[in-house]
This record gives sequence, C-alpha cells and structure tokens, in this order.
Amino acid sequence: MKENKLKNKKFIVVSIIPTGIKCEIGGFIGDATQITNLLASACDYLITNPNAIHAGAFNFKAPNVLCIEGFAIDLFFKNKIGFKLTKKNKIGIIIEKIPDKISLKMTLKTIEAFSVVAGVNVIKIEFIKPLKKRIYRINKQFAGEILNIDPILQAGKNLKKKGATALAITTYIPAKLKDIAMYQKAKVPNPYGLLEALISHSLVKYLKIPSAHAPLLTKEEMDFFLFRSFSSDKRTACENISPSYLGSVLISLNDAPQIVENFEKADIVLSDVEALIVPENCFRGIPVAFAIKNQIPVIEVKENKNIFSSLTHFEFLKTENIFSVRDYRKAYEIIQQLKLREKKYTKNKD
Amino acid sequence: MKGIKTKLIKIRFEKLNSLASLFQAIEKKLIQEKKEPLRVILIDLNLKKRESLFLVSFIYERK
Repeated sequence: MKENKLKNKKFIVVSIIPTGIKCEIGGFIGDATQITNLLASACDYLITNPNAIHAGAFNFKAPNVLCIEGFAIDLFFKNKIGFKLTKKNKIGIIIEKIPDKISLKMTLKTIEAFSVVAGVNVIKIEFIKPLKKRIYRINKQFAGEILNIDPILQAGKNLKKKGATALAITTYIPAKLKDIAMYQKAKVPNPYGLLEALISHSLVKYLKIPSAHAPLLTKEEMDFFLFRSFSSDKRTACENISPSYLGSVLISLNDAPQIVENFEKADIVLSDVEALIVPENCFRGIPVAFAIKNQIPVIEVKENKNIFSSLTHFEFLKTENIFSVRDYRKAYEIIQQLKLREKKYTKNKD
Repeated sequence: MKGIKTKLIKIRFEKLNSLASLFQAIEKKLIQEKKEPLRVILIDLNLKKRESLFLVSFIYERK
C-alpha cells in the first residue's frame, strides 16, 4: 500500500451503505445521516457514499463527512487513486432537458437558492437532450439501462474544460409510480438508486472528477411526493418536502475531495483508512474485498438489515479483522478503541 | 456510442485465493468481452461448485 507522506496522519474511517438494496438504515432518503454523523464524531474524516446522506433538498452531513462517489471509493480501495481535500469546488451542472417545464424551472430555482444561501459556487450549466433509459428488476433489485451515455460524458468533458472541479448531474429516472409507492411503504428497494449510481460512476470513470446525481422529478412525481404520499414510511419523509433533489448533491460536492492519481498530491490514501463499516451481509463489493486483502478492519453492522442473507461459504472470508456488531453505536465504540490503539502506537513509535 | 446495462453473470473458478481475486477475475472477464465494469456485486459464492454469481453493470460499445 502507498504510504501517506503527510506529517499529521489523519484517522479515517469509511462507512458504505450500498444503494438499492433496501437497507433498514440508509435505504430510503438520507436516513443514514444520523449514524454517519455519529461515526464521524469519532474520526478526523469519515468517507461515505452519497446514498447515505443525500436527503433530497436537504443535506445535514457533519463538516468532517466526505461524500465520495461509489466508483471513486472502489478505485480508492483498489489503491489506484487518493483524495485531495478541498474547501470549495467549482461546480458544473448537467441538466437533462426534459419537456416538463416545471421540472426545469424548479431545478434552476434550486441552483439559485443554494448559490445565494449556501454559497455553492456553480460556474456553468450544460443542458443535454433527453436520454433513452429504462429500469427493470433483477434478483430483487432494480437495475438500469441507458442506450447512449455519450451526451453525459461530452457535457461533463465540456464543464471540466471550462474549469469545473466537481460535476452535479440531474436526469429523469423512469421509475413507475406504483414502484415508488411500494418503496415508500418499505416493500421494495429504492427504484431510483442503481441507475443514478451508474450515471455518476460513468462520469468518475472517464473524467476522474467528483460527481453526484440527483433525480429530476417531473410535475407528476412532485405532485405524488408532495401531496399524495403522506402515509409513507417516515424514512422517506424528506421526499415529501423536496420538489428538487439537487440541493443535497450541491452541498456534498461543495467540499468533495478531488480524485488524484499521483499519490504525492494526495491528502488521503488507502493506508490511512482505519476501518470500513458496512451493513449486515454486505461482503459483496470491491471495498470489502480489498479492505480484507489490505488487512483493514471491516465492521459489519447487524441492525442494518437489507435484501441480502448471509453468503454461502461465508466462513471463507473470516479473518481476525472482521467484526460483527449489533448496531452503529457499537461500531462507534470499536472505532474509538481503534483510535486509542492508534494513538498508543504512534506515541510508542515517537 | 456507449451504453450502460446491468446483468447477472456467473463465473467459474478453479482455485480461490481471496475475495479480491474473485473481483479481479470477474472484471478481467468483462474487459475481455469489451464491457467496462461500473458496479460489481457478489450475489452468490459456491465453493463446492466452484462458481460465483455477480450482478454487474457495465459500459459497452453500441453499433
């Protein structure tokens, strides 16, 4: 693993809540914010994925929570990139120009609101033509397809060329209202999540720039969320008070760390990570696989149940670096113990 | 023209050293098939049958 050249080593923990798998905490809209902020209170920085904290028009992440796009987290765990801390990004925005005029006006008003009130620095907007996309179900999850992503990549490239250091993108996600209604009653996973993730993954893959996606709601969806779904699960409540979801994305991107391939320029590298925290039965992605490989402790939180049951032959993965804990409070305590151990080690080394 | 798709893909393995090597194997298979992996989720792992099932999302070149 690449060693961090920083004199003051930071205590960094990563907490991931995968999107679209119906996690009890974080499977809805920003409903993992409180546990994310709790974990962050024990670290110098806590890295998390957008799904955990993006709450429609709202974003209540603590200042030391770094929201990093999922594909960038994968590259980071593969030790292919590091992160450079930043105070304020120049944000470029890609908007899919769907025929619904209310939707577009609401998006533009959101940009004005967050520029004026939150001081987000939006430098340029690029509009793209409507894209052909579809959502389908595979293995209890919603999956997605986009026939042509070239306009997204081209718009991202243009914005980067014009000085953008982070990209927000908002496109229409063709979820059926009956699926949304089922999701709001906690019966199926979030139908938006995966397709959204794939769009931002593509931008990160090709442009190596912090990116995040917000669903562009049509007037019909706004009516549904704002006026016709008051019986929804409380974990989706931010949807009932958000006519545009771009706000949470702009707040996260405002200080999202830059992706750097030259480790000399990085403030955070993989060797800084003291632990990775995941929901129950989520030993299924690149971060966990490479955390185990690099002997980074993995903490599985049992209270965060989801669509997955235990992996067959899970025992194959068992190492002394895997902890299984009851809840996020216990995960927080383990982080504190790791921090104490790290302090003692550093003191003895000095 | 590039598109994005999501599919279930099964891969067989002879010997499994680590979970990371399994992810490297599925990514290698996708790249050989000219599919650029975006998101790879392990759905099932069967050591007896020496096979694993992944839900993969990838970018592919459309003609």
